[in-house]
Amino acid sequence: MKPQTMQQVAKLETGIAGFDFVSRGGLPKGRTTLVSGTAGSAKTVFACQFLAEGIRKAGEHGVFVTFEESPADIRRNMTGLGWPIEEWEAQGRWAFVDASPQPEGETIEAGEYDLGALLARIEHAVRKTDARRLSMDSLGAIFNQLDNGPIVRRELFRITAAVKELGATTVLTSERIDEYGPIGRYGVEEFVTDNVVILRNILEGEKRRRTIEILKFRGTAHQKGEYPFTVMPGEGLIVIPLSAIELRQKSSTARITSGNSKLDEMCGGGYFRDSVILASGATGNGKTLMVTEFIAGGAKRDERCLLLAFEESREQLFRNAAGWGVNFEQLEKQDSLKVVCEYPEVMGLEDHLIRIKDVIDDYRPNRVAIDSLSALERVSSDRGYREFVISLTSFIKHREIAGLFTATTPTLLGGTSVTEAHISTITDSIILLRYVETYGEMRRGLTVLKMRGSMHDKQIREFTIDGTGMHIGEPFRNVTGIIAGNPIQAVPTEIERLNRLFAEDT
Amino acid sequence: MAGRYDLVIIDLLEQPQLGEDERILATPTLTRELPPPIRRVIGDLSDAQKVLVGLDLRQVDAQEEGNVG
Repeated sequence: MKPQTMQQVAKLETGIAGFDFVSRGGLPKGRTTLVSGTAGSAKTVFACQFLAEGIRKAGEHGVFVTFEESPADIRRNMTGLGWPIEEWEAQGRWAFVDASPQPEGETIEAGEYDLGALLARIEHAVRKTDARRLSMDSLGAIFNQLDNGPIVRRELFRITAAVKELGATTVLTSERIDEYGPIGRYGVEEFVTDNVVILRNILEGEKRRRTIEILKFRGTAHQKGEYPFTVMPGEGLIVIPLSAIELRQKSSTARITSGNSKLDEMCGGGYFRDSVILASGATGNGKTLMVTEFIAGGAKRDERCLLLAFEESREQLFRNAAGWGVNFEQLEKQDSLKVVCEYPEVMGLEDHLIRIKDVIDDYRPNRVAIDSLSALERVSSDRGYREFVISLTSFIKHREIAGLFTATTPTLLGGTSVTEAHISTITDSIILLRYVETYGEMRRGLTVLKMRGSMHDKQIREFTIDGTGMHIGEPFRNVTGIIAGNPIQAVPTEIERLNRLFAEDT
Repeated sequence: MAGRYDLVIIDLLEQPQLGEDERILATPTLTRELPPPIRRVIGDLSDAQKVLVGLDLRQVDAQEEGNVG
């Protein structure tokens, strides 16, 4: 049609966290957007939050047309999300149009009718409150109340057209049956609006995962694809814009200590200040010790450290640290350390991500250690976990915080974990901790596999652990196949023979 | 029926708040408030039989009553 006017679709910032980013500025202003989803996909929360954020953040009043739940139910349900709807109603900032089924009395249909009464009520409520935002929840419920489908269909066209004239930005919700099926159940949904947003609540490997997708915004741009979101008590819907993350972080050449002078040396002078380091190793291999030294090293230089533990309790961590000569209690007292312990199963991964972000923004640390990242693997699907890791890494890098993540490998000798597969390309450094079996003895080896932008020691060195921490020693000269998880002892004569071989060649 | 009823006609375009209070969706709607329970008939009343059943003004046989619920 007219390209000039197509370009000019203004957007209304919804105020829903992350959504304005995914939608590149919010919902098309003055238009109707269909929000479609299966049962329990948070449609009503979206519709309420659209109004609530308008009131809280933009001073814009809203009208809520409910076809399904009674206003009393909505008021009560939304209190948990922190929206005092009753208060707003008293202040004239929120108005309900109650079109929910009425338990008392009975209604029969005799002849032709239209929904002019409903339209008059909506127009009245919008004018009365001077509303800029309108939510209608949910379309399907009105088909259940009235028998005459064709009339209802015709009238919905009329209502959406009339609502456009009111100048309010509208959210219209509708239920669908399949997560990846038709947009709506009644075949009118796609035609009554130019803009469609889909909420999904997918069961993936016995875990629920919520996503939001903007299917179309007529005449204006938006991010494409599904984005995970979560519903948090006291906050409502939070969209996590994953693939929209930009690689824009600055890069620092300043070095910080790993807390272990020998390891610093191996890394070419310490970690970079805004880098993410992955330490991978089997259970009991010294990962928590690396974390403890990382924190102690930071605290010594008056840096603020945050430790997020998903495997051990506070008491265990404090006892372990004390065993290596580090006093966590003291560090917490002088406010250079904050320890947050959480059992991975207490919430979904999206919720964990938001919690972690909140803690980081609240405490503003210079260093963050996560022990272990791979413990979170078990509360999510593979895909969800990958998105979590990418999102968290990018968040930390944006804040220019040094991050040390640990990952537990599933096998005792060698091997890689899912975490490594997801994260290895976005981390700046990878340190491998490995068991080395030699002549009936388990020894420990460590190597810096990758150190982006810096020279580093390529040897696999033996290390020991005692009451003062980690001691990195000499390289394993006579063992091969450590990283592959298949250490083979090379006998000295063999080494000599090989050496001679090369000597003859050159 | 003459003299035995009291009828009020409301234009919802002029008094939308009344429509809100009564939670009216469709126009036209005929509401019988007394005697309780409240009964509503929506539509242009072209189906006289249904109107009478809807307002409970006519004796119906058992089967029909079952349909109306």
